[in-house]
Amino acid sequence: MIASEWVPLAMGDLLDSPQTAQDAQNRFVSDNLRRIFLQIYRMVGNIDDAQDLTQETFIKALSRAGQIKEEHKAAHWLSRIATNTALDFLRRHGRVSFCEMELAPERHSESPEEILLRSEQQTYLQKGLETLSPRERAAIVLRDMEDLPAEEVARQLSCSKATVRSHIANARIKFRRYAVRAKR
Amino acid sequence: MTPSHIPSVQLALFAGGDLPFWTRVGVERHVAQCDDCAALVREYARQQLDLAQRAEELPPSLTGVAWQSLASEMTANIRLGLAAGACVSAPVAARVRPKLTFALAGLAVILSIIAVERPRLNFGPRPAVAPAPELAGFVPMLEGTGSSVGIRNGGRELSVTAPVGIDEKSVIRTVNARGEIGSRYVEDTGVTVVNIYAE
Repeated sequence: MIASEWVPLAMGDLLDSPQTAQDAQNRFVSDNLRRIFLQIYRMVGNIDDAQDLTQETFIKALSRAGQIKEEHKAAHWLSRIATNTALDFLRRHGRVSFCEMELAPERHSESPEEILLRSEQQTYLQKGLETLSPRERAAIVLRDMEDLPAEEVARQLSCSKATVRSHIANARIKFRRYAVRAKR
Repeated sequence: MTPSHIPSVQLALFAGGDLPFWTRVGVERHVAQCDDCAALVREYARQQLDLAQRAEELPPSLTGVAWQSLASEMTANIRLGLAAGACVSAPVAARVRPKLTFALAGLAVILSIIAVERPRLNFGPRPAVAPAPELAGFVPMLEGTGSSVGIRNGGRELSVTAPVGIDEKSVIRTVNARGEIGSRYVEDTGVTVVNIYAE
């Protein structure tokens, strides 16, 4: 699970001397970049937008590093900024466009068959997520893929626990229906 | 009697451990007896596991070098964005405590008001001012005669007379309770008001 690998950020370092702050910033970015990129990518569905929004998320977070008081909550706080940034984007654009930059797999350890299979599975996953509304997608990504507790998902989506339960349930039901259709 | 099935919404939440305690107990009891619902729960649980396993997978076009390249590009852009932000943002002032700031600002406002309003505020009995020796025993008398108004005491007199040519009948004289006497008349240049009072 990604959640278990979250790296607590020493936010105090970000406010220290310029060199220490620079090092802490670099470490913070490298430790969390992949997780945040994937979280946003699952929500917006394409690499170009995910790249822009990931950058935006980190710039927002690092510009406001002083706002966080509890260091162990930094990962959730960053994740919340990512969720809001992605949801704002989806609200502005009103749609998700699932597409890839290019299909040029470069993992040399995999056989062509493995690469094809993985590519198909990824396409299946993204198409399944595409059937959900933005909030349902955010809820299932945070709950089932990032393994966040429902309370934290509710906080990230700024809604009640009951509402988030409804989003999670609807998302699971829709995704199952999609999976059943895809298997036929 | 066959019990009615549990709604899909509850089964989906039950599979992920997202139901409140008492609802979960009820669903658990039903699922233990109902094969259909149990199968559905297993399906949701499998789906959840599948999603969790794929959470870390990058998109097919981003494996290996492509991801490294994209990560480097994003890292560079983030640094650039932060540097640009630092350039355009105003220099950060020293950290101040908001409560203290408000208290000091309030105090400053109160002191300013006191400084401005002090002459008009009565903070106690004013010190008595002794009359000048030459005015001791002065009993003033205000009077209006013809087109003039004046103040007189003994041999001393001050009067203001309307200019020549002003009909004395057109001069309006007034006396009020504050001990003022006044005259008002109309000239070519406008209305002239003269008020005389003793202090």
